[in-house]
Order: sequence, then C-alpha cells, then structure tokens
Amino acid sequence: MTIGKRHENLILFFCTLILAVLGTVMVFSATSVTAGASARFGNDTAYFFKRQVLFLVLGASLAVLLTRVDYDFYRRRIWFLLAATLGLLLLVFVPGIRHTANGASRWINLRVFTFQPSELSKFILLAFAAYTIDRKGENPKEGVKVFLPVLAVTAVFIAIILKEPDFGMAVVIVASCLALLFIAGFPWKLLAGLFGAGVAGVVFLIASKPYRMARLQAFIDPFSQAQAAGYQVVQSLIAFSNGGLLGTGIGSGKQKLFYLPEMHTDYIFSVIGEELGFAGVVAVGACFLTMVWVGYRIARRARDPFGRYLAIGLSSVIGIQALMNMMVGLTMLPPKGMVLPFLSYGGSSLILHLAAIGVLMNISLKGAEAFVADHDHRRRGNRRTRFSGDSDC
Amino acid sequence: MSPRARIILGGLAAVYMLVVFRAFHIQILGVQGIRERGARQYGVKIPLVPKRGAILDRTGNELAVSVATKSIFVQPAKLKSAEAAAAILSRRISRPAPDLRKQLASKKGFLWVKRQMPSSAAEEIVKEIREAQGTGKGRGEEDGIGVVEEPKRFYPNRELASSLLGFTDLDSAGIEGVELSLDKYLRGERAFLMCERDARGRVIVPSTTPVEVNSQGNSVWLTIDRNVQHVAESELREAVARYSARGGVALVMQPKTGEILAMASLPTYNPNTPSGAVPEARKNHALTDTYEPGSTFKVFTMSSALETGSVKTSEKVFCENGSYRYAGRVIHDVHGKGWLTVPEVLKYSSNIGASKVSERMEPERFYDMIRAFGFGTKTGIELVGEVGGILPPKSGFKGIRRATVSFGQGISVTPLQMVSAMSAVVNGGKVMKPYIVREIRDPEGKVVYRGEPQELRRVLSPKTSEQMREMMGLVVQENGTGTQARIKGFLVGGKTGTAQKVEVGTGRYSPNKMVSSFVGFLPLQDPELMILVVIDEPKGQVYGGVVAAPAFNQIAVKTAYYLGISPTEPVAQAVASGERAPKKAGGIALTRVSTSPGESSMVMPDLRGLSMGRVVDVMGRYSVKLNLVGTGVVRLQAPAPGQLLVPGTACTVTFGGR
Repeated sequence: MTIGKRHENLILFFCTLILAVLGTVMVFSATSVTAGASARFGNDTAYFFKRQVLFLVLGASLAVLLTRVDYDFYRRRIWFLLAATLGLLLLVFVPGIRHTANGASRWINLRVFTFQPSELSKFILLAFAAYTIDRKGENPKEGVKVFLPVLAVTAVFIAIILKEPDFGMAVVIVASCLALLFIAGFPWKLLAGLFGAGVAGVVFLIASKPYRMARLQAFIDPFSQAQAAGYQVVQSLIAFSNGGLLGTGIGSGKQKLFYLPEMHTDYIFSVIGEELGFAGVVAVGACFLTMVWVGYRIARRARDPFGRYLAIGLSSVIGIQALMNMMVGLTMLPPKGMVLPFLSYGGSSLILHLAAIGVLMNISLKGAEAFVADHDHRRRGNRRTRFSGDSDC
Repeated sequence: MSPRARIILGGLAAVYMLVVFRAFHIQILGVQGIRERGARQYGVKIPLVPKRGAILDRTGNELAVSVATKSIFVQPAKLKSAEAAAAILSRRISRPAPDLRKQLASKKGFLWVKRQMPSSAAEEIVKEIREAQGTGKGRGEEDGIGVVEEPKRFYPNRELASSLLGFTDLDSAGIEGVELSLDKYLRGERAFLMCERDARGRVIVPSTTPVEVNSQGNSVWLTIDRNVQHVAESELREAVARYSARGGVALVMQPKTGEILAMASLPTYNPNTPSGAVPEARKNHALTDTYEPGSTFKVFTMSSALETGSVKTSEKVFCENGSYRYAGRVIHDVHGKGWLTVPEVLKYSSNIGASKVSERMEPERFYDMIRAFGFGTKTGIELVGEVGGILPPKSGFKGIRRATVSFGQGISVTPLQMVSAMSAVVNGGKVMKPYIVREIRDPEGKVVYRGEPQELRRVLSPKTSEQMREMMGLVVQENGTGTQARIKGFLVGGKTGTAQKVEVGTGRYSPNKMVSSFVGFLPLQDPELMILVVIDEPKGQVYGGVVAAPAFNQIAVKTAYYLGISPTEPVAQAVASGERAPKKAGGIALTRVSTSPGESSMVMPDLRGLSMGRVVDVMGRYSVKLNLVGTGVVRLQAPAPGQLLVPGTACTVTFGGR
C-alpha cells in the first residue's frame, strides 16, 4: 500500500464527512421551525434532525461494511441485483405498499421509514453498465450491439421511473450512463445520436405533462408567476440573495420560515446559500467536484475494468446529480424533484450515497492491493501482470 | 486518466464554474428585483397607534384623554364553533345572537366584534370563548379570536365644551373641533414597528429592535378654564331652557389679550358617543355660524363715528319720535324718542339715532372701519371651520343698506368676531387676535408652542375707547336696555341686541324668529372680561336685555369672583342695597367709586337676608373659610357686618326660613 492510494480514500472520507455532517446541521436548521410548529411532527423541532442522524449512522455503518466487501460481488450477482431492484421499483405501483408524496409515488412504505427504489436503481444501473462494458470488452469498434443490453435495460428502468414519476432521477441516470459510455469509448456519432434522442425524449416528456410545462415557463420567467408555479424558484433566489458573501449564519435564515417549500430536501442548497452565503456555495460545490476527481483517480488505479467503470459511474452520478441540484436551486435549470447527495434530508438517498462511497473506497483499496501485488511481481520478475487498460484510464 | 474522462471532468468543472458565477451574480452583485421582493415579503409594518395627547384647560384639568382599552376581533374562517362564540358574545356584549351568528359564520378573514372595551372585560370574554371552543391551550395555534390594544378617547367632563373639543373616530383621528384642528400635534408621530413575518403571516418581533410603544402625542393646554366654561355653559343652558330657544352661544374672552376663557355652544352632545349626536350639536356655533348682530352693532357705528370725528359725545341727535323715513323706507324705534345725546342713542338703542350718526360718515370710511374691526374676515383662531361672516359689498354700501348696517341688520357676524371686535372697542382700541391654545407640550412636558397675545391692528384711539366704555356703561344704568346685566362689586358696560332672523328660503326677515344677545364687559374702566351671550330663537321674550343679559350677569359675577378680579365697588354696600332696597341701586355714578379692592376685601359684608347662592357668590372672593349651616336665607353671620376680615378667618353663616 502506498501513501498515494490512501490519500484518495482520505480525501473521499473527509469530503463525505464534511457534506454529511453539514447536511445534518442544515436539515436541522431548515426544519426546526416548521417541525416545531406542526402537530404532524409532534411539535418536535428536532424531528427531522434525529431521523437524519439515524440515517447517517446507518449509512456510515453500511459504508464501512461495504469497504470490506469485494466489489467483484456486484459483478457476479449483477443479474440478481437488477432483478431485485426491478422488483422493488415495481412495488412502488402496488397500492398499500407504495407511499405517495407531492403527487409522485416514488417510495415504498416500510412502516418505520420509506424507501425510494429509484435511488437504488440509479447505482445498480451504473453497475450493470460497468458490467456490460467489462464483459463485452472495451473495444469501441465492436459497435453498438455490445451496448444494446445496457440501453435496453436502462430504457426499461427509465420507463418505470418516469411512470412514478421521477423525472429528475431519470435525467440523472441517463446523463450518468451517457458519461460512462462516453468514457468507455463509445463512438462520438452514436453518442451524439443517443444524446439527441435523449433531448427529444426530454422535450416530449416536458410537453406531455402540464405541470412540467408550467415549471418550464416558471423557469423562463419566474417572477411572472411568483405566487404559483414560479413560487419555489423565486423563493430559492431570494434565499441566495439573502445570503450574500458569508450568509446569515446557520439558523438565522428566513426563507425556511415556511417560505421555501421542500427546503430540507430538494432545496437544501438554497438554505446553504442563505445561511452560509456564497462561501458555502463555493465550498459545497468544490467538495462534490473533488469527489468526482478522486473517484476518477480511483478508477484509474482500479484492479480491473469493472472496478474502473463502476468507480467512474458512481463518482459521475454523484457529481452530476449534485451539480444539477445546484443548478435547479440557482434556477439555471427548470425545477425537478431531485435531492442533493449527502446534504438533503432523506433516508434512501443518504444511506445509498454513503454506501456508494463505501464501494468506491473498496475499489480504491482493491486497486491499491493489486498495485502492491503488481509492484512485487515487477520487482520479482519484472513482468506485467496488470491489465493493459491501466494507463488509458 | 483518459482524455474522455478528462473531458467529462472538465465539463463538470465548467458547470461548477457556471454555478459559482451564477451564485456570485445573485449573492454578491445582487439582483435588484430579488432583493426587493425579499425585503417586501418579510417586512411588515405594524402601526403603533400612538397615545393621543391630552387636551387640558389652562389650569391642567383634563378635558380629553386617551385611555387604554381592548378590542375583540374574530377571524371567522378560523373559528371552530361560530355557534358557541355567538352565544357567548351575544350574552356578554348584548347584541342579538342571530346577527352575530350570521357574521361569525361568514368566511371573512377579519372582523371586529367589539371595539374599545375595558381591558379586563375583553380578556374575560375571549377566555370564555376559547374555553368553549376548546382552544387557546396550544402553542400559539391560531384559534380565530383575540384582543388588540387600542387607545380610546375619553372625555371625562362629558358634554362640557363638547362642541369646542370635538371628538375622534375609533382610530383616534380628530374629526371635529380642537381634536381636528390640532390633530397633527395631538396624534403624535405615527410610529411603525418594522417586523419580519414568516410565510404564514405570523410576525416575528425582532429582539434587537427596541419597541417604541410609548409613542405619544403632544398635550394641548387650552386658554379655556374648565370652571368658567362650566359656568358659561350652565348659565347659557338655563337661558336657552327658560326661553325654549333653539340654541345659543356664550363666549368669555380677555379683551386685553384675546384669550378665550370659555366657548360654550348649545346644543351639546356627549363626545364619548359622538355617533348619537345631531349635526347641529356637533357644530361649534361660536365660529361656524353667523347671526345678524342687531343693536350690539351700534357700538361699532358709534365708535367709528367718534374715531373719525364725525360726531362728539356732547352732540344731540333728533330721533324722529320713533319713525324715520329714509331712502324710501321707514326706520322704526321700539320706544320713540325726540332729541338724544349720542351716548343716549346707545343707551336707549335707537335705530334712528344710529342711522343718523352713520350718515355723518363717508360710507367708505364707515365700511373700512367695520372691516378694521374684523368683520367680514376670519379672526384666525386656531380652530377649523371658522367662517368670515357676510358684509354687503363695498360698492353697494350706501343709502338704506348703510343705514340698516348701522343698527346691525343686513350684516352677519360670528359670535367670535363680535367678542373680538367688542374687545377692541373697550381695550383701548387694539384688535387682538383671539386664541385658544395656551401651550402645546411634548410628552416630556417641554413647551413646544406657546400662544401669545397678538395685536392685529389698532382700530380706535385710547380716547375713543374710553368714551365708548363710558357710553356702554350707561346701557346698564337705569332706563337703559341692559339693566339686568348689572352685578355687584363691579361697574359693567355692555350692549343689548335683538335681531330678526332671515328666513331660509325666502330671504326675508322672519316676523317671529329672533336672535337675542348681550355683549358686556367688566370692570368698566379696565376691562378684564368680555362676555357675549347669544340666544337663538327665544320664545316668549325676545329682547336681548331680557333674554341674554341675565345669563351675562351670572356668568360675569361668577367668573369675576372666581378669577379674583378685584371689585371696583364696595361690595357690602352694593349687596345690601341690591338685596334690600333694589330701587335705590339705580343711581350709582358713572365715575369710579374710590374704594380700593384691598380695603373692601378686608371688611365683612352684611349677608343677612341673602340666599345661599348669593352668599357663595359674594364670599367667593374673600380668602376665608366659609361654613354654611342650614337652609333658606341668612339669619346669622359671624363675624358681624363691617368687621375686619383677616385672610383665613372662619366665617359661619347660618340660614333659616323667612
């Protein structure tokens, strides 16, 4: 083991720690007043905070566990994982089990808390993509056919997720898959075609639902309907505006006082913008970018192609989702229901993102082990046993 | 890292930079529309109804004060049981239950149920309703009922000076009278508490901002004296009642300064419940109404003629034995006279005499004099609603028109103009601006405004003024028209007035609707008080000397003794002769009796045979302790008449049946 490899895990650890702890604090700040005023939450100002801390502990435990589980397990069990995820995803449509909020049935009601299968499917799909790339080889010249299974399976999952509906999640998954395929060497032209198809799909989907049209309109001119569809957008902007350079200070924001709906989930970034200011915005964004960078470094040093593409997929999806959420908060993108990884309130999201970090760390550890082994080999026989793609990454 | 991975990473980094730029734009550079909207949605201005300043009389008695009350409101939409609330309210505030039920069942956002009740009562009602609703225990959950503190205007003296003071609306804004005229001082700075509110509209009071709840208006100290006002009002009321008159005005003014001591106007109303008042009662007739002054105006005719040198007091005027054909009309006198001296013209109030005196003047000069006295223009007193009276146009001021004006018909004046002008006649010739605001003090008690005597112009020479005083003194002497105005201890001057009213609609003089008035002053040689009594449409008797002079008499005697104006005549003698041998009282000489006030106040008068009221009147000016025993007329008195009185002596007066 070299210091270089461990640095990556250390950076990953600290970035995750900073974001997750900050997220818990911001969730408390964002919800204490509303929860305290609502009988539904037992007038408990710490209602959301307590639960988020619980999720954090569960997620951290799971992450620690997963750092010890060789990621090859996911490759070997990929079909089972796919099937299980699909099953969970379909449970969302079963009355009595499903849990609906804000008109979307994205959750399974597990009595104690609700589980969001689409969060899981996001990671499993990327694992499946990594698996496919690994199995069919990395030679892009083999053509589109190699990736047809990925496209087909992804299409099925996306269709189900869109049915929930969870438009934001679908966009994130598609974008991450495209990024992964791109890095894996998928031909430019085909990617352009896929991208074009994706854009067309997005346009069609927006046009098909009136509320999406309204959101788009509100995005284009939020102030024209500041009391209706543009309300969230405008309130989010006001939150950022209140923040200034250094913010109002944690707990001193005003927008959470019932102005900004979903402030502890989709709009936690606006609360950060208000209470931690421009500095907080820059820092949080930098954390996510660092995580992607570290993830890509881990990928480069990965033991095998599956590990490499899994690392790329996991770190890409975290980065893409984070940046998209930030852009929604700053009204650079039309609003769509999408959480900010590690920061937003929500059990499924927090636990699964922490688990993904655990997997990333495992890939990093296994890569380091392989490197050390390789090093030993080279020292002994000066032979290359490492796979060829290592330097391409 | 592969080039493609670099592209993706670079792309993400670029997006991150875009996010940072966007955040920089919104958070650091600032977007105006967003900032404004933010400030607008949090900011809530809570108007702090300032405590309205008090209105006090010249000695500090409260005439109008603001007291803390509570108002009950409901938010019908949030009310759990309109039925139960209506039942309780109906019982507690005595309003018909069906009405309340209907109101409370509406979906209105906000409704006053009862405004400005005593604090404890309001709290009790709200508590009872909350209990009935099973609410009020939660932590600030809104239950649709509550109280708000609201200051209410309270007039402790009820009707006293009501038409002068005016009243306020429920929001403490001045509506009439002093309340309206001096509203900008009384109402105080409208303070606002800048608070923030959350999206549910609940107010967050910032802990850092000091709450200026003690914002208060300035207090206004009037020149009015509550006791003089009370005397003027009660005497006026008595006269109005005796002659079943429509109303009346009594004014007491200091002729040397222009200070108004009393301004009574009838009918009155209770300003605590102004909604019940008829419009007629709300008006301050002393300055919003005009009347034809009648014979009182002859004073101005005479003084103008003397001032312009057109007549001398020694001259005689032939009064045509009561019927004088002039300019195609016939002027009548009630009692026809032949040759009268100029003072006698005034004493007997001869219309013909006044007309002939005015003929001696150039009409323009006479007209200018009338204007110089202040007729035809507002006096400029601090009160709103004042009118300027009506003067005939200068171009048409000749012939019969000038003749009628000379005895006070065809001209209309306000009572305030009359006292003001009459003061100028007797105070040495200076027109003083009448004023009613003595001081305005800020909440800390610092004087921010002080009313000062203001000489507007000189209209008569001191010599003419002195001649006029003497002439007006004759009016109350034997055979004069104002004998009932005489009071003990003082020589007074005055003039009666009786004028027909112009019928509304026809524009002709009414045969039976009159305005009777008496304007007088005392002491004769050095006037301290100018008092006007105007009785509107008295029934039975119409002459000013009969209808208004007795009220003047009472106001004058009580005010003079109350204010401690030193009597100029020997009181004991005057009282004795006045009560026991009224016939002899007539011949008091015009010249001042040389009894110094110091001496007279040291001698115990003879009170025997006097009524209790008279005793109080007479003894009022001595600094003694008065001990009254029994009822009826005075039987015994100690000390005995003529004994020296040391200030502080106990005087016992025993009354008994006749």
